[in-house]
Amino acid sequence: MLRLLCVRLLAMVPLLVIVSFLIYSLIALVPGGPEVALAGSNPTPERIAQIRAELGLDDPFLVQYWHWLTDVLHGDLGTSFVDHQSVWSAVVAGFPVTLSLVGLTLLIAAVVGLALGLAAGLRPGSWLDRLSTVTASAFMALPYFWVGMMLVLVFAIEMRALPAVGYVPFSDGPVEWLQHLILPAVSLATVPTAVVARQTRAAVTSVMQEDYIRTAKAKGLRPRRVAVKHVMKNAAVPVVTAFGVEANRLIGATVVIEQLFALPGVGKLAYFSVFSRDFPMVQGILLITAVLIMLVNLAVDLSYGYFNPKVRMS
Amino acid sequence: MRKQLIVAAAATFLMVASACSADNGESGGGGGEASKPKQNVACPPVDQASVDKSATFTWMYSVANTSFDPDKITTSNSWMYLYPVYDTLVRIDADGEPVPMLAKKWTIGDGGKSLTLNLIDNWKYHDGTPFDAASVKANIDRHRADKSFNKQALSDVTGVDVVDKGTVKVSTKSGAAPLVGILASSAGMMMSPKVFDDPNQARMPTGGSGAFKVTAYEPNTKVEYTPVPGYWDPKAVNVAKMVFLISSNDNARLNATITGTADSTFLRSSMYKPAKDADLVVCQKPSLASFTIALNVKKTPFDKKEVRQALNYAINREAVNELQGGFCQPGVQMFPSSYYAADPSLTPNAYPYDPKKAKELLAKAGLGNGFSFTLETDNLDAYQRVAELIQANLQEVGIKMNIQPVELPKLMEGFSVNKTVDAIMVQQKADADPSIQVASYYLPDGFSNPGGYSNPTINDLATKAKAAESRDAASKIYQQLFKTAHDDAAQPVTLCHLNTPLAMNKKVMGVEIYVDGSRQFRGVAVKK
Repeated sequence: MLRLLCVRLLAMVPLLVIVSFLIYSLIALVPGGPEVALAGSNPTPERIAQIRAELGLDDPFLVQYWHWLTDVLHGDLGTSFVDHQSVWSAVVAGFPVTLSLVGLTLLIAAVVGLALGLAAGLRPGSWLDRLSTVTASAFMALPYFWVGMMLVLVFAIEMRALPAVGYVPFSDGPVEWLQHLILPAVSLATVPTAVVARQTRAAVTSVMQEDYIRTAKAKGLRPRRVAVKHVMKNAAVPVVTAFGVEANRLIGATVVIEQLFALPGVGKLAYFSVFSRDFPMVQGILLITAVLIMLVNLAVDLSYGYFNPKVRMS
Repeated sequence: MRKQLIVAAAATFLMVASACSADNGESGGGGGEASKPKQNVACPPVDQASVDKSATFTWMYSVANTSFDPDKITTSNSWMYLYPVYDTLVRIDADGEPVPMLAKKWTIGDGGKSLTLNLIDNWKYHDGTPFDAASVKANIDRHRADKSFNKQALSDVTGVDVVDKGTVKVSTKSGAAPLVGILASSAGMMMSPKVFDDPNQARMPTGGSGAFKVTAYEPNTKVEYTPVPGYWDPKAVNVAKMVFLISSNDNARLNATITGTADSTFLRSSMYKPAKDADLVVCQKPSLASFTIALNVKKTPFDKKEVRQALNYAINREAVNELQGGFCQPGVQMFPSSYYAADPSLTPNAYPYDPKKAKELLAKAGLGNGFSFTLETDNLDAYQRVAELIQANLQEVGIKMNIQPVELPKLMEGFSVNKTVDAIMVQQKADADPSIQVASYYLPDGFSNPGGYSNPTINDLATKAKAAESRDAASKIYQQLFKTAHDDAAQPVTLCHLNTPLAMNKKVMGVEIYVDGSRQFRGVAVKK
């Protein structure tokens, strides 16, 4: 397992270099630079040219990339073009919010999705299975931003039970933290819940056909023990894979939900940065997000070894 | 309950309609379904007897500031965040009139070329540095230095002299009158010279001169202001705290105001009805901002006066206003006809919607079969809808207008810097002084005049207006200037003047809507 971990971590290095080059290239292709906006109202052409030169935007693309890459390797993600704050400190300030949101969303998806999928998979064709399938289909069909709007209307505007916008750090009050995150997390959780429920149902239904399950039942094991010890562990690999995919997707989905709920996370920062052509900020956010996604994928891969000993042996 | 459901349904429609059209600025959103509002509704005034001095006033806006240093900002949107911290030498009040602030009076002299400012006494910067003429000179010199955001606004200044401890004289090349308005903007914000070189001022200012200091700041999220003890104008401070929250999402801002997280926000036209239905107080006033089509007159056939006139006659401005939910009053000159720097005779009737006349003018220009051009505009829904309406208007007279939606940074780059674009449609905000906008659009080297449009009479009048010794004198010159611009069908084509309403809860008092579109909360109060 340790060898697998080391190999995968080493493999991340060239991958990160490729990803960083792609990030830099894509941003260079974005039409419109920051210099006109940064030059203030009615600027002279000289002032615009001066800003381009100051920002290094006149350098050849590969030179710009090399400067950025060497700074990154020295732990410096650069400084915002717009407000001159350190990219690293801005991203570090936003990530607790985004990770809180993603974490709570995954928790909801895990609890509800696994429960629905397990209930359906253990009794295929039952009313519980049908209910689970219909619920999952509905969750898949609903756009998460629309769900968010409806939740705000009902729970914030009509019932005044939960806040419509804003964020309170966990350290300032766990209850307030949860109150501010529950609506955005539930909005985001619809699709992951549906995906986890479907994958769980399919995996459980398949495992239930296996000989060792029939043997376990024939040995007289209680149904709960069969489900927990034999079915769930063997059905876990596709479910964990789906979970990893959804976790990665959620990091992107937070951009919209953080706008809707005015959450000061990385998604909101990314939105502001893209519109103001704050290239260093966008590059920093994308790079750190790419690292996070690689780590999630690594965790998923490592979990295969836990659930399936054959993977460890190979 | 039924009413609540109607409110919920209306808000739902608003949310779905605007879900993908979040904006960074304050353009009027499309809202044709909104009932036509009154143009002038004042916000509740301050009732001193019911002021809660321990209250916090929370305002929610769409765009963050870029710095707390008035020289390091990159957009005038940041002024709103700086006004509480830095007093300006002159203040432009809600009606657009200059009133004393750190300069208790001023005079224009030397044949209109200099401005002498008499400063208030016994005031100190937040760090304890005395406010005096030497510090004012240091500030203006810093503002007009290289790399300052304010350099362009103060480019006409040739020198600043300290007359005595409480008097400073600013000399200009072509005229000092515009300085009165300019010194009410970031170019007139006074900062302690002791902190000029401190880069931390960009995030946590300590050398302000205003009624408040920043006590908490989360970039792109929140700014908290606390009053400065012993402020020289105590009437301007009626709250224990002010908080500015930031969200670019219209729904989030409206929801925050409805649920009490914020006390007030601005509305796009599509938000007007949900705000009214939610029982918020809504007030509004016409502003100097406008929907404008700028033309590159170097691109044929925009070099022909008849073609520019034809465009003006072909556009149905009243329909644009309808499309904007009644929040964009038709106009045919740069500023509303009620503004001092405008020609009062140039009402919307000066260019009535007249497709027949437009066709005649095109035929006179030798373009009886029409022509085609490309208009670039912001890719936001509000702009697209207006552009499509104009496209249909122009189609009627045989002009084929292709709409090219682009993002805002690309818009100005293509039109003003690379000069490759035929025409753009923008929301033109008011500048610190009318002379700035006049220079930008009418003078040959203006930023918004890439085709180099030039009219000697306009150029001459623009110079005279800058040198006018009084506002009245400037007003008369601007009347002539805009009449000349109209007679020559000078670019840009003004469509309408925007009216951006504010919404607030019933406890808020003393919010004022500034005709120049600035957001200032001087004297705002909250009821007990």
